[in-house]
Amino acid sequence: MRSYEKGYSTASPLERPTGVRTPSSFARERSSETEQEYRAPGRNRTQPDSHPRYGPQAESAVSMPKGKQWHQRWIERFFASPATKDPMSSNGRLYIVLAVFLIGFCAVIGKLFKVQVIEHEALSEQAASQYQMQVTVPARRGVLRDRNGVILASNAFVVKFAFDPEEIKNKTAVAAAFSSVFGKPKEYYEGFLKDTSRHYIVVEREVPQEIAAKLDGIKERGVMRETDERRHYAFGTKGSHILGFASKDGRGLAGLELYYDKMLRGTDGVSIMQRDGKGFRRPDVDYDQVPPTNGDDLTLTIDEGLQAVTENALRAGVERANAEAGIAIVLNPRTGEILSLANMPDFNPNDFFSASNDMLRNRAITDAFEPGSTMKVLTAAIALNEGAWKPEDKIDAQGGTWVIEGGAKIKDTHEYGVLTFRQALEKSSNVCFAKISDKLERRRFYKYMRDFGMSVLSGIDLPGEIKGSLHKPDKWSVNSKRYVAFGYEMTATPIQLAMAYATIANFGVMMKPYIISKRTNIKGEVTEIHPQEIRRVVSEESAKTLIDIMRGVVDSGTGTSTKIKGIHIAGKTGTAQQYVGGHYSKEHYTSSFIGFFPAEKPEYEILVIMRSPKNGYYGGTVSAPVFKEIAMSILEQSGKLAPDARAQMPLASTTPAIEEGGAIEIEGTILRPRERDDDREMPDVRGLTQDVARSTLAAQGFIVLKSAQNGIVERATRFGGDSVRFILRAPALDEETEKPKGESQLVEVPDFRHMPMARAMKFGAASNVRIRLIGEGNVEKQLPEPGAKVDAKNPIVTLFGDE
Amino acid sequence: MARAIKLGTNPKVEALDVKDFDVSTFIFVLLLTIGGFVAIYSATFAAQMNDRFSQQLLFGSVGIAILIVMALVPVRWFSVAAYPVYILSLGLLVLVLVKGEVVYNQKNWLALFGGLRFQPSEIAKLGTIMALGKFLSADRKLTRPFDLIVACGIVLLPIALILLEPDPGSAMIYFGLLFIVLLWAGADLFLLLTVVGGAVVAVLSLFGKTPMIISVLSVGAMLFFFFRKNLITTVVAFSILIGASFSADFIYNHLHQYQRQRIDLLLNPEMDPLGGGYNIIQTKMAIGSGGLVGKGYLQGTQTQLRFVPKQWTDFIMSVPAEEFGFLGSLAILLLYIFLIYRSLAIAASVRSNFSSLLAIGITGIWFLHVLVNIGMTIGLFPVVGIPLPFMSYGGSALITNMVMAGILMNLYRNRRVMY
Repeated sequence: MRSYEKGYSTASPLERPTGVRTPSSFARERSSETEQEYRAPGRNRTQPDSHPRYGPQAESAVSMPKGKQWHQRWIERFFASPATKDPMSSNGRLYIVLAVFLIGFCAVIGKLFKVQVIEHEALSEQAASQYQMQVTVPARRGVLRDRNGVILASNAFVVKFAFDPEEIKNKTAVAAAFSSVFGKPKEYYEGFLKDTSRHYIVVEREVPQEIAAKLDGIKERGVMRETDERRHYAFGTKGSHILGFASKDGRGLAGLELYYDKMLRGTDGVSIMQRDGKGFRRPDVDYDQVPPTNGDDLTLTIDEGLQAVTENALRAGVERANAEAGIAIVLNPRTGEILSLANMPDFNPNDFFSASNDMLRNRAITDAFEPGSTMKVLTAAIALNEGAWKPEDKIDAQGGTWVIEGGAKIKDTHEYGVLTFRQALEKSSNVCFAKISDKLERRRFYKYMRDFGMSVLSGIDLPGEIKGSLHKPDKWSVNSKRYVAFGYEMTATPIQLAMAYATIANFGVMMKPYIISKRTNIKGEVTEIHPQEIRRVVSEESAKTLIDIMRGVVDSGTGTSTKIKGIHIAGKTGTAQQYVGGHYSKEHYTSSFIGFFPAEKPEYEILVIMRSPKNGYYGGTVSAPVFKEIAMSILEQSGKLAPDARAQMPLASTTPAIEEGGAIEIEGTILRPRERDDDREMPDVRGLTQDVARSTLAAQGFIVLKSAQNGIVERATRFGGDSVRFILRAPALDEETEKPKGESQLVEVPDFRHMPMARAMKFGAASNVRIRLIGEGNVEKQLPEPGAKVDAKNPIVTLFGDE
Repeated sequence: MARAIKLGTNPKVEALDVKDFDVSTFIFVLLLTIGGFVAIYSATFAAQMNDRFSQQLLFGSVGIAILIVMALVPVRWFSVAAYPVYILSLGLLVLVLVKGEVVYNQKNWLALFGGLRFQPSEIAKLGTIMALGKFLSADRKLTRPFDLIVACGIVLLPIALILLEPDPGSAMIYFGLLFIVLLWAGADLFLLLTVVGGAVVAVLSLFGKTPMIISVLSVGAMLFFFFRKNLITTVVAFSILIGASFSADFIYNHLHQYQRQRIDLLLNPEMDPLGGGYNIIQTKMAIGSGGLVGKGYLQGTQTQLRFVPKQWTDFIMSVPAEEFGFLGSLAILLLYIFLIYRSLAIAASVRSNFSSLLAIGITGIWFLHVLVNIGMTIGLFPVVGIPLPFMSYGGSALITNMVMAGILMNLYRNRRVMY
């Protein structure tokens, strides 16, 4: 005991004055003390306790006056339990316990203050960063309508169906239902359903909503549906080159979709979403949302019906002539409105991905070629406007062959003698036009050609237009002007030719071609796009004179196959040899017919060009019937067609009264026009997958050298003008798994058991495993079992909670 | 005189007097329970698990009824029931090891008929303090090694069973409890402080060599200067400290993977933010983002967005802390301080030794639960499965705590009774 007492008295400042009473001795002391004290009434209030007591109680006991209020009594009773002699607290142990409690609570309060007040801001930020996320609310892409309000491009929901065979109970019923809806054999789906090693097998994708609705009856959990918004082109191939296409994520890639991408796309909205511990999102009411501004709706100048007519006529014409390609443009020369525009071959923008480069090409604006005889109209216009020639002036056609400087020969298909200016155009004499150009000053001639839009962008609102080529006069050889006069040594795009002819049809004033006539924004505000005059190129009088001559082409010249009863058509045929493999080919021709009607006051102009027809090659034979078909439909539609005109329609094979004379034979040198537009802009395809980028560039006529591997385009470099080579960034990601496409690999399923669900989800994300949760709480069971091997492409793990 | 003492009456028979109803304890218990309802409602609100809230309401009402019963039964019953309750508790702890349900890697739930289930370790706490009180209130000398060993054995037996579950959190509470009761009952201070010093040294040793050496030296010096024991005793005490520090490392290496992880995470929660540290980090963010006045009821983003896992049970403190801020947590903490202070006052003033020991046991249980539970939510303690008394969701704990509060009120009512 000695050492204990010593130690105690030294250690404890709470040493009691009456000597040590070890707690273990209380039993002995208890009997005498308690009984004695118990006999003293009010002892603890009237006299200080002989033993040190519980501090607060002692004080209150001493100071407590008589006649206490209820709360005073309550406080007294709270702190003290008087009238009893406590056996335990009479030593310093109470204070040790109190000290321990005090230290404990002080530590807790101190730490609470630190966490809640001092570290508040840092922890708040940390908390906010995990529950707030900025989510882009995509804007709805603008709708494209034709001039009559028919929807051409809009947005539709598509559904992707995937199976988890393990979760599908009635497999035969599911296979039967899918088979009946999609028309594939039952066995096709049953094959998927047998594969229980996978938990996410995509069976059908891009299913239109209305078709997907037929499968709504299937309530199986293993039949998964994922809905997505897609650009939808209501008429498939119709107008494909005008409309272009947009990527799945709503990025305009070609055609109007690309040209007006900014307007159509609108502005994406921003929403602050709250993310909860389970990974779900919900809108946060506390933060302002920036609503998306939907894209503007655009109204086209295109007439959907006329587009169909144009395409059908062109398709038939291309097939008939077995041509490599065909181009048809219908426009209003008074305004420059494009009424229809078609290229063959064409593609379905809903499936642009699988279209070949040839199909994607919008030749009407991206292909420039030597036009041949159709250029004679422009030469004639210049000659008339300059007053150098009168319609009845005589020209010696040299019997069909004219040897010019340098020994080169210009030839006609017929051996004409002396022709008038008018006849020269009607019969399309190359020799005569070479001679006509001789009377024109080369700079004036060049200036006029530029004014007609040669080697100048037409300004049509479609992407990828090229300028064509017309050399500057200081580069010309002695014969250059002669060649240009009948459409060689220069190139032009179909749209440039169409607009040059429209200038004549519009009595000398050139209009800017356009496809969008109206913009309607989300508020319903309409912006009309008005016709835009570019310049007067020739006088009205010259134009009218020329139109009169051009009527003769149809009435009695090379274009007689377009003659329609009851309407005057002015036009011009063209048959140009293509420069293939270093010389002018006798097999590859460009056959064209450009005309407009009614000749008195032209309202419609139609351009038809066939590239490399194999079945006939004269413009009057190959292209003119297409022109006529379209023209008749237009007249029929407006009720202007004579009732018996259809019956008189000549057969397609009808040869024109006079055969076209566009062919030349070069025995001297000829200055080649530039083959490419090196300075034209290339669309930005960075970030697109190689295939999509290829489609985008092909639609504008670029030649893409594809790399063998798949990947995202990091950079697209041009070389040799229109050729493009991609530098790829990384392998393309598979849509479903967001993993590189490739052979299937097996991964091991991690062990999720006993993890809280929230942690399991994050763990899953970290280990590239898709998680499906069933239930709450901690993971009790998981399928597949830990360590099992699953397809790396679809590693789906189902976790079952314990709640 | 409001508090009249009937002189000459037999203090062994106390009449039922409304003035002897311990209003303070009752009010604090009631306020804390209601606070628990409020917090559980908020925690389960977003999770759409309102059945938990209504269940807790039911447990609370049943608990209050049991509390009143416990406050009114003859006080001697507790003394009589002490050993039977203890033995029953041990039996249940054995049963739970055999037939218990495994939740969170721990086998500590026992299913009753009718789908009810409870945690025997909650009831065993009460059984243990009753048995310990009963044993120590008889004429025992804690200086006598045999009595000391028996007293320790009474507590170590349930600790062993609980460690088998394994539930180290509850075991930790029992150790703390043993310390407080032995201290109260008058065990040798030097011995107690040597053992506690050893524990402190062991914990600090986990932080590295420097804290280990410093703690061994400072605790040893403290023991030496305050008690001035003879050389042999001092050397023995020092050896215990050094032994504790080395064995801590050894024990650490032999802990369960997840237990070691929890200790590691306490030292550095950012080590694994999405894994084991998730609970600590999320709870700390919840409490910290509450700030001084909180985000408002049902407005806590951490709570309502369910970032804190299992918030309605062990992490319930994060709800008022986030939604009512530091002031809210302080209010709750003050209620606990009042309750524990009150319970300590009763322990210090009842006449019967058994009453006093029982009261200090109850005080100790509450104090340790509050300290460890709140401590773990703010990173003072490792995350162990210790509920917050009266507030955490859970029938076993709430009803056991109500029973303890009822016993405490009974002890107060019979404070003058010797038995």
